[in-house]
Amino acid sequence: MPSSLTALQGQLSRRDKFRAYMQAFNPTAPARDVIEAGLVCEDLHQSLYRNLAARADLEPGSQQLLVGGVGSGKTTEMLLARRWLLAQAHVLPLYIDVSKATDLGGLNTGSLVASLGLSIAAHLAPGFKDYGPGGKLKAELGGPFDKLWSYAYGKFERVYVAEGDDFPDDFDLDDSEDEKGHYTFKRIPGKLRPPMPSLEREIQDIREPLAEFLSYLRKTQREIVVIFDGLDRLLDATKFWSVVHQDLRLLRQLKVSVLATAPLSVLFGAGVGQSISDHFDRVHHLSVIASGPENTSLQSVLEKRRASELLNLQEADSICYYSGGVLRDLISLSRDAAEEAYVSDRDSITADDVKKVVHQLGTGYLRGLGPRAIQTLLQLQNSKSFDVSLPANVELLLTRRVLECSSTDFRVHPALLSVIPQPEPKRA
Amino acid sequence: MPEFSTEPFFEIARRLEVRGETGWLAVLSPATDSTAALDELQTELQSVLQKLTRVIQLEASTFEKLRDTLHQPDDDAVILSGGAGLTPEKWRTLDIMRSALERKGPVILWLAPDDIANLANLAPNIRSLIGGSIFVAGPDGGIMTETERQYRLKQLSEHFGLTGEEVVRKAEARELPHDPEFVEWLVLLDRGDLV
Amino acid sequence: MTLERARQRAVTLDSQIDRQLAEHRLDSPANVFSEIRAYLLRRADEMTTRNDPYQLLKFRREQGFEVIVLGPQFDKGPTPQHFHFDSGARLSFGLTLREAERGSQVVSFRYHYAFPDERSPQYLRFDLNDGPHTDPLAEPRCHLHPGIEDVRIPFSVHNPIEILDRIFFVLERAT
Repeated sequence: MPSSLTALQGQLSRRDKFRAYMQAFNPTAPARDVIEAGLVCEDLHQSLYRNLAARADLEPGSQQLLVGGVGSGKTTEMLLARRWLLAQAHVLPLYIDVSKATDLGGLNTGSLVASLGLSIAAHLAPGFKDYGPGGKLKAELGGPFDKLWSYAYGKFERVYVAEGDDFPDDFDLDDSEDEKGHYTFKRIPGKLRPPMPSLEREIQDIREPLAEFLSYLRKTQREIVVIFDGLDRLLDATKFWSVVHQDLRLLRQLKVSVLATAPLSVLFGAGVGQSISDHFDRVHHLSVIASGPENTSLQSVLEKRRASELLNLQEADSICYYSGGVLRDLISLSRDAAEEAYVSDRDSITADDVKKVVHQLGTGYLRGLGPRAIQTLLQLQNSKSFDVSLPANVELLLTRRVLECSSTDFRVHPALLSVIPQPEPKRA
Repeated sequence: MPEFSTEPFFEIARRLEVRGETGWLAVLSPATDSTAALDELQTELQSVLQKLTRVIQLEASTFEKLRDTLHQPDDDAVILSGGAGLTPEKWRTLDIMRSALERKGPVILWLAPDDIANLANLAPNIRSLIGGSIFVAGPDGGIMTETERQYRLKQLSEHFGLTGEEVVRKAEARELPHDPEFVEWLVLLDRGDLV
Repeated sequence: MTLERARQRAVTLDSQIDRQLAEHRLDSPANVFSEIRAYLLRRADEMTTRNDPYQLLKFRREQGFEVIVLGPQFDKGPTPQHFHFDSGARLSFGLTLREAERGSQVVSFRYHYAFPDERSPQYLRFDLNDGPHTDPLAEPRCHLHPGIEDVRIPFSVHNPIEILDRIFFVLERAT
């Protein structure tokens, strides 16, 4: 039956109220926007970002890794580190999300330094026009810029093609006198495009132009700290190392401090992980955040975003528990629970809403698990035993079915645990 | 095996709308008439979000092409279709390039039910963005049920004092008034041929 | 100036309506339904009174026709199936479409907006019949009832959303 009430002047409509909540609990919001909106608890990881940034500042050429699982908040820590470094006037922090600009799967040696070179060039001359004819940096940096550009993006070379031949790699012009053919332009791909398999490029080709840019910057007494984000997407430690190791060696030689994200497989798993860690001055682990009566960090994250507008304390605790301490899952569950309440025509989040979204999240984690994996998870749950050296178990970590509370403490994601089929009890 | 929630497309669109027309979610296509269902999803998204909705086939797209397509424009709604044809390598590639896929407008992954395993196993970064927002395509609740149809026919009969057969006879004899209620009556009787 | 001339003018007006209808095209029936539902959802979100367009709006497709309905066919007082406004007014409607080349055509419609109790007039209803009456002066094919069943004022062909616009943004705001 109709209501004779009308909206009070200034009162938010129900939709507006939910939308405002959703905006604060958007798990896909860029980390930069979330920080700027003041929604981040900066001391969540005991101000890890300060440790990262301070060491990078005090030890030029140092190299640090930030390792964490999917959704653990690595990008946020890196951006906070960047902000801290910016406040130090003598440092130029350059944040580069390598996975945004180029095909990370196609990366090989030289890609990181190419990205860094272009970032520095863009910082000095946005749009790069100053490196061209008449530009104010043409004299000093025009040559290095051209080399940097062609290294990064490739170039065209004029080559002679004999009749009937394809593009020869080692054609000698002196032999061409008696040949019939023509000149044409051949594209030499760069580092930031998928390269042709037959070409190998020396990373030392980039050293000189990069060094010139660094030298120019250091004249203004600015040290460089480069923050490479996105490398944690290379879930396989071997692949990660094949992409980064030569680049990082060059950057150490050039005394550029590096902060880089890395996958969990660098810390866990047998073999290559330990040798990778040994190459870095410091490896920081961003573990999941503990939840419990003695630790209300997760609740603080919710309250920073004003969860109490729609979420009572009891349901907030439930969401914190079932997130497993994975920050993105915490935000997702909070958002999804509100969404359930909204489409069900409720004015706030109820226990039923939370139960439903936990079920959804857990079911998502459950799909794709075979009997052996489920057995492993149940064993972990029952006996705390988990052999992290096994590749199959590292996969469980990487896909967040298993969460690492520390380097030796593992548990099954609580949302997954809530839906995992339990074995039938054996009859006596 | 626990199941995902079943949602009609209208409700899925409504969820995206209250999120501020942003975010990721996955919709599991029905086993049959998947193409028609995809069209319906596209229609509902456009109606509710008041945004153009594009469908992009994943298999055909390279990294550069997909990245550029998703950002030109970057604020409409996009349905990424074609999970069933993706190789494990392609799934991993998509996952690696997750940052490049991020955009203002919503992204809907249109997947066959079996593809969820690939999403969970091979694309944990994308799965993390989706979270628990995985829904099975459900029937549209706007379809008039048989009970509703019978109730309406009863209301019409009581109001005009005519049976359905009498209405059909009058329509055949071209004696039926032209009021909109009679038009509806004929369609409810499955006699649209007499309209 | 005579009644006969008035009737002739009414016939001419009806012919114009026939021509407009013949040319008037809407989207496919499925798209029209989707658009109306999304429109009602947005309006419902802007109101204090609770309405659930997903539950209220129904359709039936049969042999190239689609009937889209909300609420009862005959307004005999408020029901939960009506769309209720903050003013206390209520809406029920029915729209019949025929599939056509390039989308669909409107066959008939009825939009009944009942004002809150003790208002005069008590209702406005926009009707489109599916054919001409023998006396187009008394009953134009497309007409508005200003709260009196036997009075029908000529009305023009509109897109369903255009009619809803007048209901939500003109009638309701004036109520």
